[in-house]
Parts: sequence; structure tokens; C-alpha cells
Amino acid sequence: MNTQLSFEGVEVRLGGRAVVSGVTFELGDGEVMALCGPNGAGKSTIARAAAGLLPAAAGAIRLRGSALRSVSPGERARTCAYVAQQPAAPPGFAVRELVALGRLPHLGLFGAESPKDRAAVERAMERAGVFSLGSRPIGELSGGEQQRVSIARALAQEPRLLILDEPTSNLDLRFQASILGLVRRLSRDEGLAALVVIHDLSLAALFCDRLLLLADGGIAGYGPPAEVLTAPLLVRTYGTPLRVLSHPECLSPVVVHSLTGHPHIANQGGEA
Amino acid sequence: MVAGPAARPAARLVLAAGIPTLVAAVIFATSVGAVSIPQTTVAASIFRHVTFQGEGGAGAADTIVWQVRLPRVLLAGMVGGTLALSGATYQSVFRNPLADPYLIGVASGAGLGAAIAIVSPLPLNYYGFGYVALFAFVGALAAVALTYELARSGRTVPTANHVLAGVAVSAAATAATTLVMMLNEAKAFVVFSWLYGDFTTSSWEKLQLASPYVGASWVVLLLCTHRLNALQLGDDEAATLGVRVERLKIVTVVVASLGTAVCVALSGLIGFVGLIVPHACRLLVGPDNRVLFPVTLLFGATFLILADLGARMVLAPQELPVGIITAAAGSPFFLILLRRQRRGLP
Repeated sequence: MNTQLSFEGVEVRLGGRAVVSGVTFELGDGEVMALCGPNGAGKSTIARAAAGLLPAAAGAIRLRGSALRSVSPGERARTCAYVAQQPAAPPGFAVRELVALGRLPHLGLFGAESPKDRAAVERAMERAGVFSLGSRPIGELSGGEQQRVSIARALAQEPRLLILDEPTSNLDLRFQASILGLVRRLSRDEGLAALVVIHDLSLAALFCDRLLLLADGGIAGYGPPAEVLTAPLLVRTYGTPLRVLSHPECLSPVVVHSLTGHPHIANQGGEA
Repeated sequence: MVAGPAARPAARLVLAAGIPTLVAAVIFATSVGAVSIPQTTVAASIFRHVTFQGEGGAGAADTIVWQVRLPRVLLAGMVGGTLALSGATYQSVFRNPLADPYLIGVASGAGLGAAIAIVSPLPLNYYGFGYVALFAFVGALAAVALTYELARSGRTVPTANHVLAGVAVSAAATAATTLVMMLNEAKAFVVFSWLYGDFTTSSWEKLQLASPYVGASWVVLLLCTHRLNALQLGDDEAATLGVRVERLKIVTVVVASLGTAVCVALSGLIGFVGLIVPHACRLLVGPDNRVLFPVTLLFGATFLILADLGARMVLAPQELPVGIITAAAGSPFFLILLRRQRRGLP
């Protein structure tokens, strides 16, 4: 198994302030890592730094063993794809046209598409389950469909590493399951490495191999979800009473609010 | 009114149709005038000249075609294509469907620069074309940067802000241009008649002087089309697709402004070409700049050739400034786009 991405004591500064520091992890082929933590803990910052959008002020970010800053933008784009939190839906674009933008790092000087490029676009659309939407205008699609189209665009890059910033935050339960199921399938079947920023800890625990829990720009926990998601650590990290249960079907941790400490969130006043 | 992607005619077909359409417009516009010359004679005369088969075989008609009308038609085509291509570029870079060299202040800035050059003691002959174009270029760049900065709020530039800032910068530049004219009454008429779009002084020399700059801007912009496509995803995603975003934006805006400035120096302020043509073409061929840019270039040239023909013929023998024809066609178009924009349509 090859290491696709590694962080070693990474610090990222925004406007002179260190937003994250001392971040160390490794992500290899076929692995899915969830990036979790409270709002403002630096999840998106790490995702953006991993995608080469922010430089490391200290420490080292490596893409397949080479320092990320020394990798050319084109080479980086052929290895690593990134889908932003709010994927763009540029007006006038059909789904196929948007997915085809993912071929850019593979095009030559004049930007002409070869049959190989067209085949890659179709394959990406099939894998992301948007093939039947091909000629629909992107603006007409639902949020879940747009997210899938963005992932198809990222897959058209033929990356080894996929970085998704909160792919499920605006989606209903069905689309959440289908997006994360897609990521899981790609990692299992094609050995794709994936870094996924996600808020929902229970959902993260279900589909990721490892979980990086951030608090105040530093690592609060790192490892398999069952090891990281313990009640004392979560209560400290999120500053609210929480309990960790077991999923009835697979024993994966499920995080719920505890009524001890703040009974007022319950509709029964916590007296039951 | 939105043509769905499925309803688009094959983009390459439109591109292929653009060339014969342009040739037909050139021949038609050259044949029409105070003296009507049959289109076959025009075609034959042009053919003789471009194949170096000697001058003046057909006497007066040949002189009118080759020395008088054709330079004017070709200049109008060059300016129309360049303004349309610049408009398409600004629309792509600023992700603003209403961006047009005229509306975002570039043309007025170039106009101010050119007016200063014209009234200055610098020589105003063909050799002086360089000064007028240079001053226009500086004015264009200053205006585009000022408009962008005024409209910016944080890291984004809202479409409406951008157009409003463009209106403000245009107004300021126009006021300054008027002041320049008032202070130099002797040359005021030269500035004034040029300002509203004028192809009457067209010549082969002008074409020759302008074509290296204009040609270079075409080549650079046409080579950037696939990268400009990626920019439609937003700066971050474009960067992760391997685009050097800031460099691309600076290069394309500077080059489009160079093209605009040369056009302004050649023929004054001609508005709305950069708005109407790219939009109409986008409805036909879709948003892929690799096809849209060449189509826009061809149809921009055709559009301004026909608009200039209208300017010559509507009140013949008197001539209208061509800017009035394009504004008459363009302002209703702009209002429709603005309404659609408000409703979130493309």
C-alpha cells in the first residue's frame, strides 16, 4: 500500500494566526479518513492545505512522498481531486460539460478532448451515478444530485486521492448514505484514498477507516473510530454532555446527546 | 427562452457556419454604398488582390472596393471580433454575465486615455497611433482595476456591484474626458467625433498598425479557453484542477484590455458588442469557451460589419456613429439580461 498523503507536524496560518498546528497523519491507498471536530476547529483548513490551496507554515505536507509545494499544479491535479463545501453550479452548464472540466489536467496545449478523455468522463459519470443526467442543466438538479456531479467531476481527474469538504452537510439521509456509500465503494474497488470532512460523528464512524478529531486547531484524537469516539474525549472536545452507544447492527459507535447536564433539550424535560 | 443543452445545435456546425457568414457579410457590406457594386465584382476584385494578380484591372469599382470600402469593413470586423472576444473574457474571468468592456468601465477608461493622447502635443498621425493606443491601454487597465476594487467585498465581487462600480468609473472617466475636451477646444471636435465610434478614417495603414496587437490578443485568449472553463467552478476548484488562477486572471484581463484599448484607439467607444455577441453565441453553442470564443470572434466581426453598414445606410448620405446602432440594439438586450440575472437564470 502506498501512502498518498502525509502531514507531519503541519501548521497552517491564516491572516497571521495559526489556525491548525502540530497536525500529523498518513493516508494510504484504499483508506477513508474522516476529519471531524467542532465548528472552527480547522477541518476545512486541513482539507484545503491537503489540496494545495493553503501552504504549510511549518511542518511538511507530502503527496506520494514528494513535498506538496514542489509538485507542479498540473501534476498535483492528476493525483489529487478536491470538491469544495458548496460545489459551484455555473449557469448554462449541462452535467456532462461540468464533469468534463475534470479532464483539464490531462488536456494538451489547445485543450482538445481525445476519445480517451471522453471515455474517462463517461466512466466518471457512471461511477458517480449521474450518467442518466448527462444533458440536464446543472442548475435544475437537487443538492444531492449536484454533489454527485461534483464528485463525478473530481473522478474525471482520475485522482488517487479524493478530498471532500462536507459532502453531506446539506443533504437528507438518503443522499448522505448514497454519497458516503459511493466514497466507500471507490476506495474498496479502486483503491482510492479519501479525506472527508464531516460533522456527523456517528455517520463518520460507520463509513471511515480512521477518524481524525480536531479541537482548537490541534489533534484531539486519531485512530479507528471506535478508539477515538469515547464519551470523555467527546465531552471535552465539544463542551457538551454526550454519550456513546453501539450501533445495533455492527457495534460501530453512535454519538447522542446526554440529558444529564442539560435536560432542557428533551421534549419531556428529561424527567422520564 | 433558455435553450437547454439538448436543444443546442452541434457547436462545431455553428463554428463552421461562422466563416462563410463572415465572408458573405464582408462582400455584402463592401458592395453597398453610394455607388452600388455587384457582389460578384467585389468578390472578383478581392480575389485578384489577395492572389497578387496586379492592381487596378477593373478601374473605379476596384478602387472603391480595395481602397475605400474594404479597409473600413475589415476594420469594423476586427474591432467587432475583438470587443466581443474581450467581453466573453471579462464575463468568464469575473464570472459576471453582464461584464462588457463598455459596462465595466474599461472602454471609458481607454477613451479618457486616448482623449488625453489626442489633445496632447504628441504627434497625431499614423505614427502617433502608438501613443493613442498606449494611453488608451493604460486608461483601460486603470479602469478595470479600479472597478474591480470598488466592487469587491471581501473575497467576492457581486455581479450587481461590479456593474454599478463600472457605471461609476465610466461616469467619472467620461466627465474627465469632457473636461479634457473643454480645456482643448481646438481639438474638441476631433475627440468628439471619434468618441462615438467612427470608421470613416479607415485605411490599410490603420489595419496594419493594429493587427499585431489585436492578433496577439486573439491568440492568447483562444489559448486560455480551457483554463477559463475551469474558472467557472470557482477559484479553489480551478486551482485544484491545476490552473494558476491569479496568473490566468491577470494575463487574460490585461490581454483583453489591450485588445479593447486598441479598438478604442482605432474607432472610439462602441458599446454592447461585448455583451450581445457572447450572450447570443452562448445560447447557440453553450458555455464551453473552447467553442464559444472562436464563435464569438467570428460573429462579433459579422455583427459590427453589419452595424457599421447600418450606420452608413440608415440616414444616407449622412452617417450615424456606429456606437448609436450598437447601443440601440444592446440596451434592451442588457435590460432583459439584468432581469434574468435577478431571477437567477443564466
